[in-house]
Amino acid sequence: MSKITRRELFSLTGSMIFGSALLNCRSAPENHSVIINSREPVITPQGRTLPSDAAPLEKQILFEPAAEPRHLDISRDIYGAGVAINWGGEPLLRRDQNQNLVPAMAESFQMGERADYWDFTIRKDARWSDGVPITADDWVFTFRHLASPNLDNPWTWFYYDIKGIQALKEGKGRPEDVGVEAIDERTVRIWGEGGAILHLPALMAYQAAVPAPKHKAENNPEHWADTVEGFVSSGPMRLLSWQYNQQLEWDANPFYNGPHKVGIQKLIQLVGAPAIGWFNSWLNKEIDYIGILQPQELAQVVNDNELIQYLHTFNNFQTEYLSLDCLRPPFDNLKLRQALSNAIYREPFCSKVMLGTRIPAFSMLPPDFPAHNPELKSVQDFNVEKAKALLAEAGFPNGKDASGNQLVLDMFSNGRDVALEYVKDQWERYLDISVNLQIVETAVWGARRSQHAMPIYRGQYEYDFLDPANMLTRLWRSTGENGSPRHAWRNAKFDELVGLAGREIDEQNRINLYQQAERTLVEDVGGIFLAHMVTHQVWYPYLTGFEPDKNGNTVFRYLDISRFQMYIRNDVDHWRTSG
Amino acid sequence: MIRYIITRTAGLLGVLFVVSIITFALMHTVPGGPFDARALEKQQMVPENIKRQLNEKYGLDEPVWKQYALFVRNAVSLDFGYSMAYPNRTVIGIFREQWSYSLQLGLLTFIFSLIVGAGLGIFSAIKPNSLLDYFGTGVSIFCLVIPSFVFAILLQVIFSVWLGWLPTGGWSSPRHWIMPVLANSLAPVLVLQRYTRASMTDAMKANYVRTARAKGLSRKRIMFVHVFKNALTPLLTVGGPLAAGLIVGSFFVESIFRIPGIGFYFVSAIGSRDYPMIMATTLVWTLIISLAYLVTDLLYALADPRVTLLKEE
Repeated sequence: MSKITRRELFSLTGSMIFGSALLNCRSAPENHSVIINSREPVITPQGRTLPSDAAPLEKQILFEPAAEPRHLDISRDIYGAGVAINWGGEPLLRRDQNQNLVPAMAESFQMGERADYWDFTIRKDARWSDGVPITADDWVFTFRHLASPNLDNPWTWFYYDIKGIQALKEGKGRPEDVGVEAIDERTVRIWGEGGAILHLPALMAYQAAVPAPKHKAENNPEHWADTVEGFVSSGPMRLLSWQYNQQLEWDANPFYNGPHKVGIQKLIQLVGAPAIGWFNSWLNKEIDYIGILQPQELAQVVNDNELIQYLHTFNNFQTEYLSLDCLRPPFDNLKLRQALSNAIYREPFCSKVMLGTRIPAFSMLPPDFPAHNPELKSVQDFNVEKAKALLAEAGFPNGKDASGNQLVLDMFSNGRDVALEYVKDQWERYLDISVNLQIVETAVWGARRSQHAMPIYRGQYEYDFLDPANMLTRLWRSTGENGSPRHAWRNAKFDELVGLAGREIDEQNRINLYQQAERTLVEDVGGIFLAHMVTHQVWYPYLTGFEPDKNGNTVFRYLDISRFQMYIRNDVDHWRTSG
Repeated sequence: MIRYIITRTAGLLGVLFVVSIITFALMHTVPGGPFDARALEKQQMVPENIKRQLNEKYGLDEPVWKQYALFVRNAVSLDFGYSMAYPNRTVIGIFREQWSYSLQLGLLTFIFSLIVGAGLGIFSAIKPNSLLDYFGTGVSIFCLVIPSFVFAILLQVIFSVWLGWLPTGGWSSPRHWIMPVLANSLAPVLVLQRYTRASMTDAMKANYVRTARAKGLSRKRIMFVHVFKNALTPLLTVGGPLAAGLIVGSFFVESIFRIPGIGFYFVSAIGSRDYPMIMATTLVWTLIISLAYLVTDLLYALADPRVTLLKEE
């Protein structure tokens, strides 16, 4: 081996010093912003006057992360289009920061006498982004279009509570029989399937319950919205360009005259599903906010004195649970299901494993969701002694059957799943049973779930619309001998209660019925409820304008009107370094 | 040589045919279809009756042999139909619009790797056991042990988050190219450095080098005219397939740096059961790797006169 010469040593040392200098040359956090209250009010082309600290119009630009839409026919792509759809489509109603229904495309709505239909009055002079008027006919067309059996729309079932939708989708009905009719040019009447439909306004406030433009889509229903050239928006923004898998660019829709006029004048949606998330992009100020932080990102934020100032938190309406095949052994044994439900200590899972991104769940409906019942906690709460006793009653004392064989349970996940690993540990630790956790490929997992071919798997569901009909009826009501499409659990009492609740007009009775139904679900252990999601999000202070909710929290709920309230403050240049 | 090319090209058609049959059969054998995968993206599910309807719409309810016959009929005219994951775009359209990004990334990576990898290999061979040789070996060990996705994240943290010099993703300017190319270069630098060093070291021990030295030729002339030319054949062996692998993109690098290339589709098509895309990507990959080997074989003949492409008549 040759010796290192003096020159080589100097070179090496110099390189190391230079490298160290580079690593230390990050600029100091740019929190020296200057907010100037402008004398001249900033008025947007849509006619909204922004607060005095707003940046001028040319700086009202938002950079946000987004997923690639499949196409721009929002009414047919209610889950795939993701973030893009909220800006470009306007439903009849929306939710405000307190989750109250507020007008959107409909300036008013009225229930029919027996709640079997609702009339929505479209605001005057509502127009598509190409200037064509939006009429009740567009809405009639929309529901026939989204339920057309000839089109690729896997999500039509979302609207099965509307008369005639399911029949049309399944090829058993005619478009004319869909219960959506134009009473006059501005009034659209929507009928419930099988009678009263008290939750219709909630359904119509979903982000994707938006119209399809009849004048564009009628002649080319499958591909009218494949490109930016074919697309017209009904919402406050219009699409300017779409570079596939890169970015979408929007500006304010000049024809929008509704109640949710935007502060943001230009929107750049960066498309991608980065394998490591968007956190680094946010730290580098390439995007302005992150809607949901992962546990490890949250840990970094809360341990950073600067970043923690930008953290915002709210309880999301999402539930994670274990689904058991209750129609076959061994889970047709209620005592066994009860034992398992009582043998999971949820608090450490939420606080230590998920680092505060979850709170314990003991029932399907999350806190603050309509009909949530905190008393249900005692049913599936952690109680080892009770769990062991129930296991013995189920025929498995000390985790063994009558022949002395250890009980072995098969559990399935589609990828690494810390929740299931935690549950496996809990059951093995407290009940002395064996859990075989198998990881299968995602599409295989999906097919097995449809076939009810997994004895235990972890399910999760985030609300679409704020009504128990969404998180109870739609998810858990049996549609046949095998239970509901997702769950191999069947309970006649539950089905009857949610059926009655769906037809009930009196709001308090309705809530009572849903609470009874949920109690049935929890006591019969249709699912073992694990956790509700807590959404942690970050944005820099120049992104502002969100109205605080009734608890004083300022959060960005992507299903309400927050995005239209926001605007860019005039100290933005001090913050943005690139983008 | 032309006869050789024609023979190989005809063989390639056979390879494509066999690969298409195997892929088509495997694709339809594994459980789970496009609508199971699509629903799961949002933790949703599609009811069985709607799934059946969608399968009918896309002809997936037909016997597999019939679907295959239809596929072949369309594929010969380069019509792979619409993607099932992105139903607004044809498969050919996706290739047309996205592949250029992967090509750019692949070519930049190849050029960078050739300069760095082969360069380090040459210098290591010229000065064995020197600091430069150890540095080259150190670089290749680094490339061997660190996965590209870890290196990519490390680069992001250093150059974007800490230093704020480079954007974390995108492909719109040369600033966006730097980190993806570095992250994508790990394997090629490793392969080229080690192969160059080994083949150069072997060639330097050959008798003709000793003769050249004895003739009084300059060191530079010996290295680049005699040694490097003869060390080229092993490099061509690995260089062809390496280049082929690079121009179809990289799932990890493209995903982490948000590059809208085709590499993403090569992998995601499988998970999303995007049947038309799976067939197209598999056949394109088969074509590229086969062509890479063909070109490599032709280059052998150019680099080494002892290599003949066809048996003597």
